[in-house]
Amino acid sequence: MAKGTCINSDRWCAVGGLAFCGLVYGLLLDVDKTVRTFPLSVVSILFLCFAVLLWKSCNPTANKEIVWIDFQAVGVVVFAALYLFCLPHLGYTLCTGIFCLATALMLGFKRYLAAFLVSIGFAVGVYLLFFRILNVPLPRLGIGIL
Amino acid sequence: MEYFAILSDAFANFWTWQNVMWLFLGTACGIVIGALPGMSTTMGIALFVPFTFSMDVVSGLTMLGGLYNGSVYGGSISAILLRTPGTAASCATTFDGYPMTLRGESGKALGTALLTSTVGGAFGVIVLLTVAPPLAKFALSFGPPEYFLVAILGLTIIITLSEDNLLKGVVAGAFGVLISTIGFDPIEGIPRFTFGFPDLYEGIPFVPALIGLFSMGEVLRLVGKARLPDDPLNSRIGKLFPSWEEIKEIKRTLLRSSIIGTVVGIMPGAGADIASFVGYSEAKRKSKTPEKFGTGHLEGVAASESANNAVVGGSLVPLLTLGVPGNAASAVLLGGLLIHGLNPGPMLFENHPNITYGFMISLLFSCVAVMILGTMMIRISPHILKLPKRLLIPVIIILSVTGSYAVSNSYIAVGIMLIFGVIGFMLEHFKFPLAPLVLGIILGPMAENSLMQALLLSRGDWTIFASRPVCIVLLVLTIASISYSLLQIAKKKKQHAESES
Repeated sequence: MAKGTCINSDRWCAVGGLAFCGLVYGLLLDVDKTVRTFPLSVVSILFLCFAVLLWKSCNPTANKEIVWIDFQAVGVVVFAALYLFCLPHLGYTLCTGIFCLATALMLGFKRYLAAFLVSIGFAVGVYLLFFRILNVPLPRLGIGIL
Repeated sequence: MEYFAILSDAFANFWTWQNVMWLFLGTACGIVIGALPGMSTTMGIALFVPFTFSMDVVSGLTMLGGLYNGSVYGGSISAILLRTPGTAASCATTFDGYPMTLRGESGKALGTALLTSTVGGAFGVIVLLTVAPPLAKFALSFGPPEYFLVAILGLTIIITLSEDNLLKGVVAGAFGVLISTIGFDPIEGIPRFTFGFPDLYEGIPFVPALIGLFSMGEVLRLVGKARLPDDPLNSRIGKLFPSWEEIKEIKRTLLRSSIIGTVVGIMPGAGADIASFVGYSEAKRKSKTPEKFGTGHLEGVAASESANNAVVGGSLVPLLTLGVPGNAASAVLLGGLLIHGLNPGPMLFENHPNITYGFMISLLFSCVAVMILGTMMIRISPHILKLPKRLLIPVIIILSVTGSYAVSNSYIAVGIMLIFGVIGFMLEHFKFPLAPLVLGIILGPMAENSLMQALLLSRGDWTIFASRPVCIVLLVLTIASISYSLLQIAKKKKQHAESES
């Protein structure tokens, strides 16, 4: 479910960008002078661009737009992060099957049997293709099966 | 006449049923590997090099060459169908290929990519066969000043790629260059922005970052669309291959991009990803309808795919003649040559002409193999579209995670992929273009390394960048490129203002 609010996104991007440039500049102060020259030049260009963006966004005729927060997208990111966290503990095949099923159901997929079969089939198929056939290392449990 | 006699002997050496079988097998594996997001061309070649140990030299090199060519084309399949470039070389293909899929013209986009990849690849190999020695000699004359100016010239392409919002394009490009400074400084070896993570000492891993930007970002956009019922038009393939009239319209772009791809491939350090962006940018600049680029324009797909496949032949010019790899993929191929006791360099042509020319001829035939196998796969690949979006989303995430992990066997790489996914989604949400960001990440290291090396060579004297003939040519080209693009933007704004009034 999405929720929207009307803001001048360019202004907020510019403010965020200027803050980011300040942060990077602060981090570069701890680095040797010869090493920081190139990134400092790039940060200066970024700072200038964000300053111009802020100035342009302060124009009274600048467009405002509705910015949406998509909570399902946030949920997908959280699920992906959990998937990454669980990989070394549960192993690739099990984790992938669970993640695939959980994400599909979270997104509203109603055909539960199809979701279950596709999740298991895909997890096993990718494992066979990458690990067995292409010899690509994948996270595995200590027992070496999953 | 001696040259044709050598070619004839080499062809006879190559043309056996075993070599043809290995050629088709290597090409098929390459197409599949290229199509899988996260499985790069370099990784694919590295995976298959061990399989060639026990094979005949020509058979082994034939298979590796087919894999190289096939994987560069294969990246276009997922780029067009899923907006997820299978390889970095197919980034620019997403700009027009995916919108064509949304219009139900995925078959035409795939057919165009196949046709132009075949033609571009064949062009690159023909150049390799005919002009390898003099071209390699010219490329060897490039030093740090020249490479710095090449990087700057490449970064000016940002202006062309972000005409709609120049300021945001420059921000994205500069952000990309800043990201590329993460890791060890190229001269002093002091870590920057690593926050104590050893995995970041070598910099942001490029392939996971790319997967995050284009794959995860698309997944997050798909989430919004997943709530809507599946549009039947989106899964319509439409006719395969462009019509003769459409082919005639793109023939100039095809030739230009093939030349660009070959030249970029010859330059050590510049790969298919840069070639596809340069080819795309030039096609847009020279086009009578540049506003159509990015909306599902056939020329855009043709430009990107012919350029990136032409790199295959071009990148082997410095490798075979001088032993200097043209890019990462050809560097791994170097390992494949060494395993079979072949030392790349001028003497390779003298001591092993049958093998050397046989390998080059096999590359030409791999273009034919790409055409045949690609046509078969066009019929199969759009079935991916029939997957419900709610199932496609976790599938893409899993492939992205698997590919990112496989690159460096590291969870940090997967974490980087997720972070870049969020960054890519947010950037596009606030209308910052992604192409300049990727260009900045690619060219940033080249710019910094060569700038520092050039200044070390000249002891801080900046006139080194204007003291050599090639540098002067590159400077003039850069200034001309910037001026021309700014003029075009100013002209469009004036026309827009006039039409409004």
